[in-house]
Amino acid sequence: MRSRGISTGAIIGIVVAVIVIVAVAVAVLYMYKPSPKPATAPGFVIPISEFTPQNVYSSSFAQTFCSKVGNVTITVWNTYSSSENQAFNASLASFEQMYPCIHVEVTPGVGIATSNFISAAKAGQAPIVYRDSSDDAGKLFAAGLLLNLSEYLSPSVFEQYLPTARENFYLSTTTAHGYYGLPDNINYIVMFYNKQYITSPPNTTDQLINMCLQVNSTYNVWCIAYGVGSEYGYRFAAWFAGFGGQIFGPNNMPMLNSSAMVNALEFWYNLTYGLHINAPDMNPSLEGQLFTSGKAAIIFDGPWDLGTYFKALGCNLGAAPLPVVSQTGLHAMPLIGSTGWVIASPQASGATPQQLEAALVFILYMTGPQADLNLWNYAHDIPANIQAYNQAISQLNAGQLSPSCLNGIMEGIFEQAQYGQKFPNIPAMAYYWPAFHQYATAYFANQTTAQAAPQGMEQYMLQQMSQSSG
Amino acid sequence: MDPLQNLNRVLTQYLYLLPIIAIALFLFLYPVAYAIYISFTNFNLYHLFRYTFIGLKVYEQILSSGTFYTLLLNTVIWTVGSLVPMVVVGFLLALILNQRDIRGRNVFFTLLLVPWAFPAYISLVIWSGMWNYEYGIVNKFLGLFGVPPINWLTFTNTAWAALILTNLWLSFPYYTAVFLSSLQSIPSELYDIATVDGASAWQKFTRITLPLMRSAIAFVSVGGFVFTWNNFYPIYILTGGGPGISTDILIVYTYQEAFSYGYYNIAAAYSVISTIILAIMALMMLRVGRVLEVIT
Amino acid sequence: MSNRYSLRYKLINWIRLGISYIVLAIVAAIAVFPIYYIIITSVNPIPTLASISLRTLLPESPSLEAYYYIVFKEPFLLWLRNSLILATGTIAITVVVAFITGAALSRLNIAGKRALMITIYVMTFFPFAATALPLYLMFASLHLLNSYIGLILAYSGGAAIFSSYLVKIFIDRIPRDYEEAALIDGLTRPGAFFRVLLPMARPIIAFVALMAFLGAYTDYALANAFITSGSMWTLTLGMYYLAFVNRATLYNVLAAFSVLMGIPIFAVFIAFQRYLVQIYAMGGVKA
Repeated sequence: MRSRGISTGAIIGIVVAVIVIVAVAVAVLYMYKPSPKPATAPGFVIPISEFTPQNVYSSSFAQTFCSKVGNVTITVWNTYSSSENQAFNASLASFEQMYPCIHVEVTPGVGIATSNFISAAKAGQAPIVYRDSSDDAGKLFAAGLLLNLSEYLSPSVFEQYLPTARENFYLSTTTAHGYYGLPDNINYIVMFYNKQYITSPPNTTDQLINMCLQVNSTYNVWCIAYGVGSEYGYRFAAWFAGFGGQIFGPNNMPMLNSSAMVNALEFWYNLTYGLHINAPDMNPSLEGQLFTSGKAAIIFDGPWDLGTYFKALGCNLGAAPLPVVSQTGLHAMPLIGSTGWVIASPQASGATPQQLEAALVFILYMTGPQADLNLWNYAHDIPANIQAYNQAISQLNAGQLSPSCLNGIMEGIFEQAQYGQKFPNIPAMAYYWPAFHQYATAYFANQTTAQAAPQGMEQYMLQQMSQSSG
Repeated sequence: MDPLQNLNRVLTQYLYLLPIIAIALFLFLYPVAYAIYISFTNFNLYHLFRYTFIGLKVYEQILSSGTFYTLLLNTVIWTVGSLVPMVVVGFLLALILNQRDIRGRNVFFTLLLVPWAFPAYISLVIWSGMWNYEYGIVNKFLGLFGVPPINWLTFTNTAWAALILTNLWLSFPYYTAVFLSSLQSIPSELYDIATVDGASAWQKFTRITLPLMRSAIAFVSVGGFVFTWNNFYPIYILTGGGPGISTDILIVYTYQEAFSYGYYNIAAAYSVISTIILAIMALMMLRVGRVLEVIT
Repeated sequence: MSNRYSLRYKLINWIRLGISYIVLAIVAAIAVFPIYYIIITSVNPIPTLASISLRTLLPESPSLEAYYYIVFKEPFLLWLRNSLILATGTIAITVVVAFITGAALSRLNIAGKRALMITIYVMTFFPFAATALPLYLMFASLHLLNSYIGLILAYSGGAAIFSSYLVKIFIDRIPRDYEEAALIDGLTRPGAFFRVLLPMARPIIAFVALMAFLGAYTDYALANAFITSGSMWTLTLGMYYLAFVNRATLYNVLAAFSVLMGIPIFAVFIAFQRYLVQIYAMGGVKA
């Protein structure tokens, strides 16, 4: 090729490169246009005071609502399991009958705490209504992605829920302050056991160990199937509390670095690798398999799996609260959380005021006594609505569940609620899981000591907390 | 040539490349540029709509934390540790299949393709069950030979072994197929002439086979290196990076930062650093293997 | 030749072949075993995965319960239709783009093409975890989410770049004489590409189509992010929904679904066998 001057090829190359760069810059700037801010004025046609649980279920209110608001569509992301979905569909049907002007677009099978919500919010296309767990929703609320329900509903509305449930959806930090969701259930783990191997449930951990050693030698099955060496800390939090620890102390600072964590870790290490009464290398699916096939006597799980276990073990299934830790005399206190409905902020969903009104009506309806009772009847979710909760209790007391042994099981499940700890919903809770997982797995892999692991956990949390505020 | 005709010709030529340039622009350049931009800001879940430029702070954080170097080391262990067995096994199997008097070669070859044809994430879920301590097939099988059960995925060293073996299972068909076809494209006359000249099998291998396969080995190794470096699924599904972060690699950690915590800016910064390192290593390997001349 | 020599020769051959067959048999067994495992898991009435004892390697009471549940109780056919639509669209676009680009890169003397190819190749090194969000945002602002077109474009983009290289390298090996003859005969350049080159490039086109199909058919991540309406779900989304409930995994459902998804893939692979062998002979190219 001639070397005189710049060759044609190079010129073409440069021209193309310039065009490319200009095109990219234009595209980036175009895409970057911030989404137009929706109207900031409330623009509601129904007074806030009229959004009450009683009104939502009254047909006269429904008629007034439809005549004032007109036709409106709301998008809902549904995170129910298939048995809960039966209840949801029944409630939805009666809702649509009562409010023909509200068209509900349901997306089924969405995961709880899905990151899709965040990306959709960034694009301004988040669903108007989403069902999420109280702690993940707390994170979203602190990030400004959820509607502050305290500004849209009168305080008496929140009185209709169990105190634990309503507090789970209340956040008070420097950036966010108020209720951010309406709960439809409370959930926590209990101790399920197989009556074939364990005739009466252990009250203390010493009893648990003795029973387990007997079960192991007599029946040759695993006493406990608990994947403590691979979990993220949701169930372990109960034992941490049982040994006297708490995840967050005053000022919402983590308090994982305590002797309680050391003792709890060593306790379970001993049960798994020392006494061999806890099966090693477990995960939730495998635990369930072992328990349902009678190869494990005890499993720590929640009532959401009650259907599976009851189908497999029948009346041999028993449920009882987690035992008391003998060393401290404290109950092992599982995290009592809630799942409930939240509304995306207008910036995230691009919702009009009318859509917000319809959304409020929707979530009030779905967490109202009738809909909540549906969840109990179809899926045995523990209701968060006080009316529905009382009805469930009276059903139990009257032994109305069939078959009759189910009554005893549910009583055991309800008993655990007295010995639980509040599920922290501050944003920092999101760092507890990876912190626990990283150092607990390292400890069970003999890579770190029981003293060093809690230190690592707390350091990890502090580091992540400082990063998010930066 | 008339300059106008020249321009006309060049523009038409670029017209053919327009689709691929458009794709590269919108689907690759734009997201990468966006990611690079946000790696210099504090864009994350808590600054989703309003975020500010903070310069190199994120990079400082990453490079001064011990985590990054652990991840880098793990990624190198994973990539090199996977690639070497895959190339060796693929090559050996190709040599075996290439023998002229093997019968049922097509049957064997089809069976060998199975791991590669089946969607990886499904096979991985199955494999994670097979490595289980108490109930996994691997330990049961080893038990037949009197080997005591190994807690594969709980401890780091055995976890690496399990990961690399699983990755070997997933990918060896591809390497076998590539090497087999390369071997088959070597004209058999070369071997015949060598036999007549009195060459031994070993001499035939080192003087004929290896040199002619060099470009295939080099090209496939580079491609495999790049692919394995960013191969997300095996580690995510089998160990999740555990225990601790001892089997965590850059891409898995990046994914967790972005989608579990919403730290998009940190994920972006990690991606930039990872890509730079990978690009340097890949280009070096391409140079050494003199592959660039082959493909362009 | 003496008898002793041919006997020793035969013995060595015997040993060599014997070892080869043993190795091949073992490797084939290892290769196929997990798939066999999936199949017996899928006919198991209880959702079990890890073997409780070696006896379970032979199905005890096989039942097609899981298959029945998937195909008849869930909108399997809807999901299949959506997956096939996406896959077909991806094949169409990828094949066209790859062929045009590959042919052009191979035959036309375009300035700066080496730099272009290397730059584009390096750009694909960037981990998807960081590019997922901007990609999503771009498609969201163009209102292409929750539509076939959006996903097809995204899948095609991912497949097109590698496919272009593959086509280029393949076409490099085809002698130029045929097109030269056609051009002399008065055919235009694009005419030469399509009338002369395309038929000769059938093996690589088939391979590109196969890769595009696989990429679109088996993707979960992009489909999960882009699709929000139930009527547009693909097979992978449906599988995830059915198999991963709460914290447990219904392994028999997962396995049955994988078999249902995997069978078409297998069939296509077997059908494309003869093309594949020709492809690999190009001296190693990454799919």
